[in-house]
Amino acid sequence: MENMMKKQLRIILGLFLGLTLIGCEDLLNLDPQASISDEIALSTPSNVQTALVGAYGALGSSNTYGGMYIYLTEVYAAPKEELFWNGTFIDPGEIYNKAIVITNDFVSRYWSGSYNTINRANNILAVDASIFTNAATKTKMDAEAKFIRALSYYNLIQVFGKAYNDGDPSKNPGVPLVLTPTRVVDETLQVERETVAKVYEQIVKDLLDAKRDLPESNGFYANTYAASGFLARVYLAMGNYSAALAEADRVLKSGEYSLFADIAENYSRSSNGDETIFAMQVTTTSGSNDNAVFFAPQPFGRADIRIEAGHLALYEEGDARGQLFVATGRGVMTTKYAVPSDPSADPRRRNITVMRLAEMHLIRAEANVRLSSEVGLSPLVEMNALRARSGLAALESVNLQQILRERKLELAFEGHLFADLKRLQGSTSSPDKANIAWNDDSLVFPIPNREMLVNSKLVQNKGYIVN
Amino acid sequence: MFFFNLSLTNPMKMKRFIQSLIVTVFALLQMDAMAQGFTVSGRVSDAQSGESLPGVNVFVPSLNRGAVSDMDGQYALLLAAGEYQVRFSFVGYITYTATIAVSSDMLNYDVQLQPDVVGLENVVVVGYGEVSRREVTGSISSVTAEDIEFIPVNTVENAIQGKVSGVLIQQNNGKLGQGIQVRVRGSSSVTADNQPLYVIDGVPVIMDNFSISSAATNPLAQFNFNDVESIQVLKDASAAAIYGSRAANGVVLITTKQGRPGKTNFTYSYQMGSSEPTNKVDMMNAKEYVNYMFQAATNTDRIRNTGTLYREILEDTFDWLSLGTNWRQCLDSKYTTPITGTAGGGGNCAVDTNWQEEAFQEAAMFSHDLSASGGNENTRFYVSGHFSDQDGILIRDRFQRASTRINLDHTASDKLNLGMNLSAGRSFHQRLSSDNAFSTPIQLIAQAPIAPLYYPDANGQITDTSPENLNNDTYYYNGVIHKYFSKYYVTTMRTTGKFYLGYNVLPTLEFRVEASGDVMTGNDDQWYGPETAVGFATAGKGGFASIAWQQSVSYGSSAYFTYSDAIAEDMNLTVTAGLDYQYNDYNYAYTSRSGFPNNSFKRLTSGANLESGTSTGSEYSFLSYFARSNYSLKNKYLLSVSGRVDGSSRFGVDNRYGFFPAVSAGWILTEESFTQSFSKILTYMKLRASYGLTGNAGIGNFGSLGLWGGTSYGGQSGINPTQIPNPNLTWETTQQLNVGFDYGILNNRITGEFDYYVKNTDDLLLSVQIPATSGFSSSLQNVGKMENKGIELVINTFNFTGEFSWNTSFNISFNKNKVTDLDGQVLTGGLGYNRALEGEAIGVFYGREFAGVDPTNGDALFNVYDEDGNFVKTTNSFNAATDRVIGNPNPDYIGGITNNFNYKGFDLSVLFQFVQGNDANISGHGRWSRGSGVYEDNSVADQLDAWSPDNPNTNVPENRYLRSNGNQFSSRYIVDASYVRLKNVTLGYTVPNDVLSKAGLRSLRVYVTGVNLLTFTDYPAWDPEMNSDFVAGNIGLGNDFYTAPQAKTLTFGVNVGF
Repeated sequence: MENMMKKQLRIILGLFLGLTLIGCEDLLNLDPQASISDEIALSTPSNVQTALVGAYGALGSSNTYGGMYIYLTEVYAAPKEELFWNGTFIDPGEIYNKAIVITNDFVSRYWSGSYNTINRANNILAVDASIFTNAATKTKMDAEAKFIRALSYYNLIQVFGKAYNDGDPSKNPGVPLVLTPTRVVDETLQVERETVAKVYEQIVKDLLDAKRDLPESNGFYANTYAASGFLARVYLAMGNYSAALAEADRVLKSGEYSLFADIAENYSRSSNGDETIFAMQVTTTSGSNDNAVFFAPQPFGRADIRIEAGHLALYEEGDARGQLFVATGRGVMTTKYAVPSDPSADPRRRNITVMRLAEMHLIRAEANVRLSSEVGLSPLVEMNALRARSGLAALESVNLQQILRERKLELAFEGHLFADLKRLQGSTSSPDKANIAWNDDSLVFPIPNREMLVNSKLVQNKGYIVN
Repeated sequence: MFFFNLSLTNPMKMKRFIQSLIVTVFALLQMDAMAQGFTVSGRVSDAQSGESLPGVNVFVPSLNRGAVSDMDGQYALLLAAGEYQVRFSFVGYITYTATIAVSSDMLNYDVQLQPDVVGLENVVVVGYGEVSRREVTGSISSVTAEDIEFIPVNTVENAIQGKVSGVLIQQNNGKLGQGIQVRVRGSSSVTADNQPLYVIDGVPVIMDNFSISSAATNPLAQFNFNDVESIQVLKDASAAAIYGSRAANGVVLITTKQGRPGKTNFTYSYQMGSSEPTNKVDMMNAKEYVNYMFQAATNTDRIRNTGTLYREILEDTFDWLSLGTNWRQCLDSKYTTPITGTAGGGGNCAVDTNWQEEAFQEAAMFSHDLSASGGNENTRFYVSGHFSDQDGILIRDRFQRASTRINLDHTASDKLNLGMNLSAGRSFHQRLSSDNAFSTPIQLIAQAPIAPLYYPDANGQITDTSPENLNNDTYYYNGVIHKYFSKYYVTTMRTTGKFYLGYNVLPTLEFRVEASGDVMTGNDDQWYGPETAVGFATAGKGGFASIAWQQSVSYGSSAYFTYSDAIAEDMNLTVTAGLDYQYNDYNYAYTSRSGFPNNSFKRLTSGANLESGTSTGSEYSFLSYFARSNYSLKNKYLLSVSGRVDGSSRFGVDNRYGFFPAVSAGWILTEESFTQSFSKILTYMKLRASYGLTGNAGIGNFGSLGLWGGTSYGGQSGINPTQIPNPNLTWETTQQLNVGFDYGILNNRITGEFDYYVKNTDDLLLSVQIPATSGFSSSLQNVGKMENKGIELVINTFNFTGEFSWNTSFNISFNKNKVTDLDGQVLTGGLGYNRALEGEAIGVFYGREFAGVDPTNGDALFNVYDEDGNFVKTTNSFNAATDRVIGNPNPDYIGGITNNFNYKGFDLSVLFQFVQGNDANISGHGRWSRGSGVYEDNSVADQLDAWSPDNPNTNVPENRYLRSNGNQFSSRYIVDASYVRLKNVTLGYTVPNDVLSKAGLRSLRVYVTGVNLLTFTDYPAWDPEMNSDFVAGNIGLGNDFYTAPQAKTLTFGVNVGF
């Protein structure tokens, strides 16, 4: 009896101990099902490729090129005579009025959306080269990541810092330059603002690398000409016309692109076309197009941005570009983010053109006039070709003012107005103020208040410092 | 040891098994008798009534052997000659230990047990075991079956409201099956879960909120609380620490009923009744509304110097809202409409819709309960079935519950005990939209009373009252349309089961293994016809339907040893040690379509367009080792030490395991000889103290990992970082100190408990704001501290005993919460006005201070303070006023008082429950329905007291149409939400036994019960027990946003035992 009891006790204790020792750690090591961990995410070239797709996705979000980089900067720069913000959202209304409070949520989203994109690009750039069997694969992915990062920084520096031509860019505060992915929460996240010059330097460096390493053709992703085209745009903002000229000319000479016969073909496309250099892709299930949400007439759009008579009067008789409007119950709307040919098509599910060939013509012509050169094509021939496409008579001579006027009409509501206001040292107006100079403090976004609260190293922009 | 080949599927085998069992038992008895001698037998009865007591445990500790009394109270023991200590114990009676000398002439021994009115011998269920109330050194509140059975409320939490000290229970609103806020000794977390851990029959149950809308549902709604034997709430660290990292918010242990040996008892209960809202708000009628608004437009015209512009806008709006019916005839004769130039008629409006009435419905309910319990010495069982069908007080609201349970306990031998608890339940719930949706019924009060419910005919008369003719041109979407053209059906199935096996390795050592499973499956089936398009935009595309399917599966096992022995004279030691493993797997799938041929097609298969489709899943696990030792010396010095090591998949690899120790001690003063001289006055006194650590692991499943989620771009799939890793992430730790005493005065005529506690929570799991330049906006970190301090007092008195008996039970609890450290973060919640602020209680209201009305011009005034908090001045400029703490949604104290009366078969129970000192924010609807006429919403009738030159001294600002005058969020909308409520009153009559026995019945009781019959409060909205469902949270407290009142219910019931 005593023995039997001891035996039983031994069996039970054995079972018990067995239970306690069964791979305890394994029981607690569970993996998420709808997500993957950092280690897996960037462990193979194909995983890195999907992360790159995710970075393009961030560049096309409603806070970036999927919306704010275009409609918000247009609303910000436009004078009240040309555009009226008719929406119920308070935040874009403040931006239109050039009376932004530091807690403006759209400003905050513009900031965080840009840095979200930058972090995704930084993740790709930080991938260890050793996982790639083919070094060229890494080189190309890095080039795309740099392209994405450069576009993000360019859109950040435009609105959060003073213009490159405003005072001393090597002294003016720009935006924090974050070039490595975030892996841990610690004091290294407290980053100071770099100078405007430093930020532009980084943008140019990234774009030059991208231009060098990107292929001539890359589907709807960025190629070497998209990098060149963007370099041209950035050099223009920096007042470096010879460099802008060279890059624009490179794109135009590549033979990869040609103007559409009808300018209207550029808008609300479902795929890239002959004139498209770079566009954000929007499908029925992915991507966002907030430009359509705010610019397009109802029912798909909110019809919040009304185009005023002051703008419509700028078009000459017979200008096809003057036909890209529609009168609605909520006033005149641009059709650049609508599908006037098909009332049942939802423009919110159509692509957003970031860069098209006409811009390259305009940059080359402008730079040639400024530099008194005729690289590629004479400015007069170049301008007349663009005018002819929109059904306008040829000019007999062309000057800078005429080119800039063509530029304004050709690229209206396509996200160029704000940069042009700054670099051309123009002026605008708001419902409360008739004349606001290009370098007015109210034409720089505030550093979002939430950022000021969590990052003690940030300094607020001048127009938003109380007392 | 005997082993039987047990096959329950074959009745012949079963029968043979039972036969062989009986034969074996007899053989055993025979053997013992032959070997050792004598049968001691007798009858156990109730000392007061003399009735026989079946199921009494008769135990001989020295032999580790015993028996159970049969249905006539008879027991029999086979004992050799000698002297034995024999223990007679039975739930609800004071344990009696007899010394029996067995010899040839000592064969009969009758025992009378004293009822334990004080409950000192009651068994208190604790984690992984049970102890007697006398030996408890922690803070544990208990509720028994009689306290909660057949109360006509929706869930078990409702049933214990006001009955448990230190536990605040607030239902979000009067919708059925909705989320319920339970706080044991205050909030201990800012970001992580604040609800207690629920353990039913030893199984930590799934508490996943399956709602896919913003309003939470109650995961315990499938549970039939009529099966409950007892509920224990473990409040202090020493009681709860055995549950380690999940115990910081307290633990609610629910034990279900078990059968007792004896004749099978059947109980059938039927209940039927109806509910109505506890309160309605007095809104303006059409005439009042028209004149109030017209005056508001006149005022705006005067202030803005705009001629009749605002009256013109209003006239146009009224023409639209009234759908051409005559509203001008009820305009006061002093007004003239500016567009048509009509003078007011001064009569009544053609249409006067009382929209509030349209929100409510006749709410009937009924329930059936049938249970049976019984068994013999070897096998005991309890089975039950429940069905109830309850209408909510709001239109469309309905909740059906069906549930069954079987609890089986089998003693295979004197060493082996095994059993199983299994319950299966199903609920069918017709849900409503969240409080913030225009389609939620209460939002109907915002509609203008001049707007008809149905479209009028060509003559302006309402003749067609079919659902198709409902007015869809109201100012806000007409929520009544949802009643006929939408469905929101939620079906939830839940099966919870446990198998256990106990083996007495030694007389003093028991080994127990348990395996449990809990499966919860929910189906959320919604459809919206095109008629609802205004209220549900997607429905515009020819109808919209969605289906969401969710399943949460938990399984677990535990194994532990319990050693219990008198290690020396007057010295008892119980040690429990073991391990526990819990795993949960969650799955979710959702699909939606639009474009249905017509309203007969409500299933997705008929929808033309796929709107969305997704599925996801997640899992977590806990692996734990625990030990506890209870030591008692001379039955008066008590010491308990416990500890648990918890590991969880939720925590970072660097911090995966935590240790949660606790220690407690008790001293039963009245066992000391020096108290004997005044034992009649101080009959019982136990001093208690405890200290320990518990944790909170109520966070997302993979909070510590760096995560990437799926995305897509241009039709290609991509990934993006979604979470920064935090390998240090760990549980919140709560240290709790508890000191208290249990007392009995005047021969235990007055008994009770007192507790004082301090709870300090450290390493709060906080969603910390980080610079967005990182690519992220927040990260889950262990940052911050919070404190709760409080006292709890319970007083039970026996005022009268005898034929007329009256006893009273009173409890009151004070808790003070303070957020002590948030690392400088300012966190908001609720409607944006609740804050977590350092130095303040969690969820305080933050905003401008309303300073009344300027008697000279009717402007709303607000206070301005300087930086040091000194009052500077009042201002009529809202922007110039200062934000500050303007209210606290946490109550100062809560409690309840129950009085039970019995006289000759009549019983009356009256429970008052109270919550005092908490503020509420009624700005949700207040800013519109008390908004000084700024919008076209109908207003509460008390706004008729608005400022006017004839009424300069008022707190209601002048009404101004389309011009803000005090309708911004301010302390104007912060109100006292204290209340005292007649929570429950039951009057019953039990038919005497002698009448019943003729009818062959065991028992018969008829009763009427009322819930929430009376509410005493100054609260100006519907009901002070509320927290708007779509913003309810840890910080989001005390917000009323068109929040439905609670139900007032009256039922009639009958219980039959046979």
